[in-house]
Amino acid sequence: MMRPFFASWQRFWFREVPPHSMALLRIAFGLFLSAYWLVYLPRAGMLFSESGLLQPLLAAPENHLLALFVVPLSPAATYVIYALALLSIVLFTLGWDMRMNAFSIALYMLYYYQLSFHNFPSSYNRILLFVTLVFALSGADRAYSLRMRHEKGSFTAWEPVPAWPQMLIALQLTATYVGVSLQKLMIAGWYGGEVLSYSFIGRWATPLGFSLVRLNVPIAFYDWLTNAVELGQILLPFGLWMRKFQWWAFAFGAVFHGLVTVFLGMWWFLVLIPCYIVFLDPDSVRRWACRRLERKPE
Amino acid sequence: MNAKRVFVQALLLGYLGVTLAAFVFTVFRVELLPRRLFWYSYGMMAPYQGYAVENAELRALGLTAAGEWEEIDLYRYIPTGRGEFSYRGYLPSARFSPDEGKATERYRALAALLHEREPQYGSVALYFDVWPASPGGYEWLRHDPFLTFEFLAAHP
Repeated sequence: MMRPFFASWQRFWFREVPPHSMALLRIAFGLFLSAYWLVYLPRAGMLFSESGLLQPLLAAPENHLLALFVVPLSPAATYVIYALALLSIVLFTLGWDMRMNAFSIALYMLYYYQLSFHNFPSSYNRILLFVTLVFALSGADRAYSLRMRHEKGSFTAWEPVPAWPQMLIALQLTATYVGVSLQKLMIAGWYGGEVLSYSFIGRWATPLGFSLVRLNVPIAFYDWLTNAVELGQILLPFGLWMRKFQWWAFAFGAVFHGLVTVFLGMWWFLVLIPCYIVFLDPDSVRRWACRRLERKPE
Repeated sequence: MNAKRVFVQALLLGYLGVTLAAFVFTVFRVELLPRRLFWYSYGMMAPYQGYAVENAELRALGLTAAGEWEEIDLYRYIPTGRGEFSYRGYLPSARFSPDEGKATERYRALAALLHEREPQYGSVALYFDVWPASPGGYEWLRHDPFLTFEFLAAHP
């Protein structure tokens, strides 16, 4: 019994696959991180330097080397570090020294977490860090990268990679959606439509959220919407793995995260949409990429 | 099996164990592992857990030389969107800390830090404004008689 299980385990995690899925995700993820960093750039001085009201998570003795990493620095030094982080993100996106840059980005994320984001400890920050660390261990630069341009003479040259980093991201997304959907079934706050009607007039609500509530539709509308969200989220993690229903699952996820952005302003979860590529068969992605992106026969 | 493969296998087994522990806690509130080990993974499964019928924001007041209290613009120091600003005001890393009194200590330190930034004030006080949510707008009912406030800390 153990031998077939072990064989399946080895096949699931360690079969060699084309790197195109992870490479395309690397580019999309890198572009998202760039946008994320640029959004905070004008405010970096107040949010991450000694000019603001920072209370770092960690403490360090004065004049200790550790203080460099935990104590807020001057605005000038803060912007220099911020720019270096942005440079790492750009190089990661382009696939140059990808593993080192991914590891650096993870360190920058931890740095800014202990400095400032520990007072905004959201699930999306954890997912961003997790995916970045997986990239640091992956072969996502084995296609569509400056590395392949440098080593093989072509941006589109590629080498097969083990499947496990892609499967790890897929499993984490599955765990996220399963956990989220099961909690919604158990938490009293999600038993009726009030969770949505009040959310659309709460601290996260956008002007569109307020406009929707001002239409004064009956609470039954919000009850229906809540049930639809719960049902969709229960089915989503299964649909992502079933080839027959995958694109429906992708569509639901994209619409759901889009609506969360539009009505609640939580745009950070849009990064999950390009991550759905990890659920597609890597050979299919390679063939599509050859046909559509590289415009050459498979 | 080479060392790299052993390392990856161990990593995958560790990940699956931690994720399973987080999942069991999510559904059954049973801790299969010490909380510190799976809390990060649990945080990736934590949804939008509820809703509030009230809005709340951190507010700072400074005592002028004339003896009057005036508003200090905290958005200048926490230049984020409204949702993030409101959430940051709770100092969640202190509120959810196992150390009792951590939040109080942090608010006192925050008041002291703000007093450093705004030395023109003789004293700085922190409050939590709380008011009912309304379709009229985020701050539609942020006034008497709907507004209540909770004193947090002052410096000196």
